[in-house]
Amino acid sequence: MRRLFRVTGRGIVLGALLIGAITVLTPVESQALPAFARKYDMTCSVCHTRMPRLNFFGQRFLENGYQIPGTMDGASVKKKLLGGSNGATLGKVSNYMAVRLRADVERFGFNDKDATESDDKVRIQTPDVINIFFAGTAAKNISFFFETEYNSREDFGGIAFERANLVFSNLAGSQGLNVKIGNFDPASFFSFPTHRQQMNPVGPEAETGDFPPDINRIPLLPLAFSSKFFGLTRAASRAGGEGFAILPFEPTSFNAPSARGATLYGRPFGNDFLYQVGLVDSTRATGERGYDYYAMLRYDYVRGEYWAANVSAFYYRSPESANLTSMGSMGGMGSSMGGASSGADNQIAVADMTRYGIGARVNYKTLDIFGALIFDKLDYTLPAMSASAWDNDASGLSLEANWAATQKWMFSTRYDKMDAGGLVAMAKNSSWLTVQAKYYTSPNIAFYLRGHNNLESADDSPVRNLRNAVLAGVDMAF
Amino acid sequence: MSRIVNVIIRAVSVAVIVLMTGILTTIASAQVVKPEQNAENVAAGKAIYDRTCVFCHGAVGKGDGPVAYFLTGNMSPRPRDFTAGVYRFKSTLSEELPADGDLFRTITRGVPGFMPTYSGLVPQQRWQLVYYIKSLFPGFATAEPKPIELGTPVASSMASVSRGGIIFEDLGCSGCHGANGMGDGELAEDLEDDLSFKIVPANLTMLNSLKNGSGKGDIYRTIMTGINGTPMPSFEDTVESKDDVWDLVNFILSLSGSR
Repeated sequence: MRRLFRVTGRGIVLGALLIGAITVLTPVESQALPAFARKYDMTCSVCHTRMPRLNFFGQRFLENGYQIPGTMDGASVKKKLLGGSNGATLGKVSNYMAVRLRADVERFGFNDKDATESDDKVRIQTPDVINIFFAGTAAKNISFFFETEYNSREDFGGIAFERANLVFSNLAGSQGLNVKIGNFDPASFFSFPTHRQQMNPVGPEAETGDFPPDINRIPLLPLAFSSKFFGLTRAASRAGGEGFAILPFEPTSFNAPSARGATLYGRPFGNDFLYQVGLVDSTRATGERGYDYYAMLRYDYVRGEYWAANVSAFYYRSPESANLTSMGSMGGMGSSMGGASSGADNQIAVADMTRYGIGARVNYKTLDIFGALIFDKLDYTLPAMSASAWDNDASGLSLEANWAATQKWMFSTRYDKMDAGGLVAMAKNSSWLTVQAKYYTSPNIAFYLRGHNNLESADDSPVRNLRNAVLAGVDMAF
Repeated sequence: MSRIVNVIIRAVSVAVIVLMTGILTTIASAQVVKPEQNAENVAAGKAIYDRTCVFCHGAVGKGDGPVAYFLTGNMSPRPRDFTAGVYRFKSTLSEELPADGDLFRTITRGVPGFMPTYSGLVPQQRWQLVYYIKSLFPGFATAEPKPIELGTPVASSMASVSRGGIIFEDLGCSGCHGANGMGDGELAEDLEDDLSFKIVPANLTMLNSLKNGSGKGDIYRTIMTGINGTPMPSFEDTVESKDDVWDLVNFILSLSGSR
């Protein structure tokens, strides 16, 4: 314990100094508001607990295709219409655009000093993630969302359309049927969405040019969403993310931040229940195109006395989506493997993947507590002797609490636990505790200081070699 | 299997497009007709309320929805408690309940910064909401709210603005709103509303932030009725003539260059 604090001490001091300086130097109030809030002449907190997480009203605004809940105001209210009598102009484009910047100073403490080039170093990321959004309603009940992201954290970093989708709202009467098509987070309406984290995910550091990839550092994100299985690969023709391997820490399936597909959702039976069904464009382990499918049901309890809650459950099925591989250090944990080889050489079976889980959220005054318990299962056919080398079940739990203590300060904590599955010889559980203090100089500009601590006994393996991390940075949208 | 799924997806896509086209093109525009206040319309208003208002105002209208605290923390404004019968934005004198038109106007316009406009609801739905909100406070059953008369506006001129500036000082407006109307008067830091939440005086140089509206009539109405539950008093008994109030309105509008 003493070692942990000694190692992180410099980072904490650095972060505290940074936040202190920023707090003193930054004006207390800013008149700047993100474009989305500006469109409606409203403060960000009408829709957000604090940017970027949505409150119960913001969730309904999102559900309704960027229209005020219960209405079909489309482009007719406040928002400027693309097209119309004068057509679209560059000036009008700004009415649809918002920018989000994230930059930070990071310090990672490792157990094995030979394991990574980033060992115990302070790294400045300015800015490391930039998102540019275009969103709004093109017409009544037709809305769009495009988000480009430049992310220097990711190995395949660069500018890309992370999310891009169209929503057709209120197709079967008010709330009954909505259709979303494109790239989006399938868990947008789940009690614990993959996207819009109050504690921004930190991507992995990995060398993905070879197979299996070398992992210098695991990502830091809600482990309930992770794939959890060691020793799996994707089809060679669809290499993505971290190369051929499916990283055990990678958000996947229902909890992918961005998946291409279509979803139907609505509230045909009143305000309490939200259904969602969808298809995700996928690639089979064989390289053929296929579709994953899922369903989600959420129950909302919105009453009074300053509190509300919801619970949700989902089922996601991905047929023939992964290869079981025989390589000892597969699954994205192959730093000890020498030389590159082909994943295809080592495939021993094709597996279906099934994910199901429950989530819940409770708001009371300015306290926002939510969590997800997610189970993953592999189905395949193997001789009994070979199958005994595999654990077909995995699970993950993420619990988070955010408390907006004042209009300026938000304190957050998250507990993550992953019971890993897959190749038994390689699978290692993981659990983390994260704490964060966030200071908002205005509703759209926040400075944060965050600490991640590995709760498992740290060892020299790529899964466990990261002991802790301290981040101090800024997150702003305008 | 994959081919079957593809066929299904195509069929569903076509069906959805046809459905969407039909529905979106047949949505009729509503007529601006005030429906009768009866149990049926109150019930319809409740259904709308449960979809749109409950998040801030709470299930029974006490202003205690789950978003209320996130919205402003321990500061004013808070969502209205409809069961208390205390309304801020109205055309009636201080202690009176609002007229139907006042509630309709607030629903339609929203409150800049804090409540979205609900002009996306057709007028009939907004009236139904008005009736439901009124049903939450028994006092409406016997109340006969009378909107104040605005009289004839005084045209803006250098002379009128100049007179308004003098009235602005005489009435003590600058104590809260500041000499330049920027909401930074010497009393501004210590103001509280009726719920003991800190409240910030309006910045009169930013007209679009005025919660009770920024039209000439809106500002006149605010001066004469005050804003219930806030330190903004009614000046109905203080001013000498309606023309003085219109001069003051012209001065306030001039602070933002809007006269």
